[in-house]
Amino acid sequence: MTARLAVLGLSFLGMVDTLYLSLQRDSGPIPCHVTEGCGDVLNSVYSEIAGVPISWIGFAFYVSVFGAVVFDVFGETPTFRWLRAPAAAALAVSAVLTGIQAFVLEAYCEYCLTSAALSTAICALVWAGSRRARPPVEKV
Amino acid sequence: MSKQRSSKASTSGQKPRKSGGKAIVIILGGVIAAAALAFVLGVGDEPVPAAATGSLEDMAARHVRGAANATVTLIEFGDFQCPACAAYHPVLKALLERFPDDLELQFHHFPLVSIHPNALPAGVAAEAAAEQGRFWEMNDMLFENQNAWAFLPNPDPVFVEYARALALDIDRFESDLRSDELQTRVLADGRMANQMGLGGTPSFFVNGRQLLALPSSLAEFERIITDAIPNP
Repeated sequence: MTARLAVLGLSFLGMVDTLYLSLQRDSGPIPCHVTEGCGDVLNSVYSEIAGVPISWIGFAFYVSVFGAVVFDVFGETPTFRWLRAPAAAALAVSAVLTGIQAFVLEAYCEYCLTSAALSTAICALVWAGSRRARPPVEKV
Repeated sequence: MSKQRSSKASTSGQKPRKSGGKAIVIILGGVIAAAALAFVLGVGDEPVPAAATGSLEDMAARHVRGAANATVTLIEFGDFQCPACAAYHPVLKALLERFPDDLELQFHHFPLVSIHPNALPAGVAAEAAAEQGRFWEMNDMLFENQNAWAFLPNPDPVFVEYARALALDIDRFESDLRSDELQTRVLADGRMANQMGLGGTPSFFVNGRQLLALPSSLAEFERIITDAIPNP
């Protein structure tokens, strides 16, 4: 249960982070407060996949995670463990994007790094939490 | 956890609780709360000056070259990654040579970032050069070598080479390439161009009047400038 609540909170933060990026994207440069080069990252060719901004794709991921956890807690389906593959994929994508920031663009976007940290934590919690969530063994 | 709840309900003979609707409400509430929070966070970060009113008169002429006491002002809204802008670049330089006492050229940024991913970095590079008084030299290098950087994943090293060729302070130039302030300056120009309803690049204004049809040749452009020169 603790893992689920933690993932719920982290995915909520992820929604805020990615939605902020998506909404601000077209209204001007997004200011960096901690790192340098938000504009370089967010306006680079790597900020979109097939014309879709990665921030929107990230938002879809976090909404899916949030929804899956809510359904797991309040619904009848154990959807939490379904998140294992998507969470691993998100971790892989985050690793690639962080690598691009470090080695190709040589610029960092704090919002992207935040999302990478969130997806890493979500992946760890989903895998740890779903491993413990075994069906109860019936005693004869 | 949910399996435990389900088996508990069935063993007690109760009808299983249908809480899908509750879950959907919670999900929608979470998304709306996240959207509200993202919006509130964004309000304080509005980066572009609020002076934009969609009027050419409101735009400061930061980049001007040509005659000191010009009678004709030619304004270009350009995008450094735009091929048509690069094609017009030698035409504009020819016009400045043809009308050395009457014509001044102003440049405003109009980076079409949705189709030209390197337009914004190039605009920032030009502004970074402007910080050291060499905007027009960088403007020339960017347009004249457009194919060398237009499609690079990261064009900044090329811009640094141009800065080196212009004998700029490289440390300062590199720092300025990452400047949010310079980026804001470029995008503010572009936002103003959008508010003015400009349809693309290049867009030209001669003495405040937009050329709705782009001149198809240097000769046609020369006629337009000649007609704009006041008769003595």
